[in-house]
Amino acid sequence: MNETTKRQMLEVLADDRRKWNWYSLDIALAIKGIVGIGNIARLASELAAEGLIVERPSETHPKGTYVITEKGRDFLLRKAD
Amino acid sequence: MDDLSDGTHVSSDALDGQAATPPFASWPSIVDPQRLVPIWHPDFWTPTPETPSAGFADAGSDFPSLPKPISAPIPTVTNASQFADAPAAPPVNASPTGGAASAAATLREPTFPDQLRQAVEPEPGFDYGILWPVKYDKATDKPSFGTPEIARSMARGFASLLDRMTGNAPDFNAVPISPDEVGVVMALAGAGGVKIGGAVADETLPSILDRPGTGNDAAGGIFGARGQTSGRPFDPANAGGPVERLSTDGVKITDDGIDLVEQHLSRFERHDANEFMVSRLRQIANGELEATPYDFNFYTHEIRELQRYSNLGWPRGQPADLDVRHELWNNAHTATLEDYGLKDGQLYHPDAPK
Repeated sequence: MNETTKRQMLEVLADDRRKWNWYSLDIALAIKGIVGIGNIARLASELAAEGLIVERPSETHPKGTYVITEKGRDFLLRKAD
Repeated sequence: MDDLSDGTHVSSDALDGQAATPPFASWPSIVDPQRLVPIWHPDFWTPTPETPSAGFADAGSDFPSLPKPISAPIPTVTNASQFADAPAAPPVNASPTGGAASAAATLREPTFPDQLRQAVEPEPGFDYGILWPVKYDKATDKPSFGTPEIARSMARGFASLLDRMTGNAPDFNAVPISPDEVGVVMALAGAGGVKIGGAVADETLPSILDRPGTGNDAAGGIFGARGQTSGRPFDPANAGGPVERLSTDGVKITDDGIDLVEQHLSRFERHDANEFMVSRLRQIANGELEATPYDFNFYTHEIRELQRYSNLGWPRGQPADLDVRHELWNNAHTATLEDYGLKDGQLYHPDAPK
C-alpha cells in the first residue's frame, strides 16, 4: 500500500465519532472521491499489521471495527508536517 | 470436445493456432479488412437443441438486421422472494415502482441479440471489431458452445488466423455479457484496445477493454473493469448480471420498497448514513418529506443491489470471509452504480452523517 492510500484511509478513521468497518470506510472514502484503491478490507488488515489501526470486536459490528492507534495518528501528524 | 452449433466437434486445444476449423473457415470472407466491421456469424446465433437459450431464441429470424434501439419494458419487482426465486439468466430487471407483478412477469423480454448488435456497432478509426457470444450452462458446467476459457482459446485461434492473413496480430479479450454468456472481442487497431459503440454495452465493454492488462497480455485478469461513471474497479462477470441503463424516472417510493431496502441493508453492519437515508425514505413514503434525487438514487440503488446479491445467491447474509464479503459487495455495488450512472456521492443526502 502506498503512503497516499494509507493517509487517505487513516484520515477517515481518525474521526472517532463513528464506528468504522470495511463497509462504512469504503463508502466514506468513495464519497470523498477516493475509489479504486483496492479491497478496503484487505488494506485495513495491512494497516492493522503495521500497527496503524486495531480491529476491535463490537456488538453492533460482528466482524469488528477499525480504530486508529496512536501510531496511526502519529503517521498523520508526521505527514502533515 | 465441444459441440458447435453446426454439429462440428472442436476441442479447445485444437482451436489454438488452428482457427481454420469450421465455423471459422467462413469468417475471412466476411471480414472487411478496410475498416472496423462488426461481424456476426449465423452459426453463433442458433440455439443448440440441448440448451435452448431464451437470449438467442429470436436471433435466427431477424439476423442480420441492423441494430435497433432496445425498447424492452422494465417490469416491476416488489418483493424479495421474487429475487430469490428468479433464475440466474436471463437477468431479472427490477424497477422499484410498487405494484403486484408476478414472478414470471419480472423476466424481461430477451433482448440479448439486439444488445449485441448495439454492442458491436463500429466505432470509427478501428480496423476490426469482432464480437461473438459464447454460451454455457452454469448449472451443469457443460458448455453448449464454450466456457470463458474456451472462448479465449477460440479467440487465440482466430487471432492467429488473422495474423497469418494480415500480418497483424489482433488484440482480443473475452468479456462477460450476461451471467452465463461471454463475448469475445477482437481488434486489429487501436492501441488502447477496442472501442465499441452501442446502447447497453457501451458503459461496460469499453471500460473493460480499456483496463490495462486486458487483451493479449491479460495478466490483469480478463474479467476486470473499472466502472465508467463510478470509477470503481469491479468484476462485471461476478456482479449478478450485466450493467444496464436504468433510470429513477417514474419511481415511487413505497413502504414495500423501503422494506426491501431495509432487508438488504440489514446484512451489513450498522452504518449511520444508511439509517439516515432509510429514515428519510419512510418520511417520504408517509408524505412528510419531499423526495430529492439523492433519495431516489439511494432507494433504487439499494433495491437493485439486493437484486444483484440475490442473483449471486445471496438474498440474505454475506460470505463469512471478509475479503470475499468486500468483493461481493464491491462488484454488486459498482455494477449498480453503473446501472444508474452514479457516483457514490450521489447516493447520500448532503445532510447524511459523513
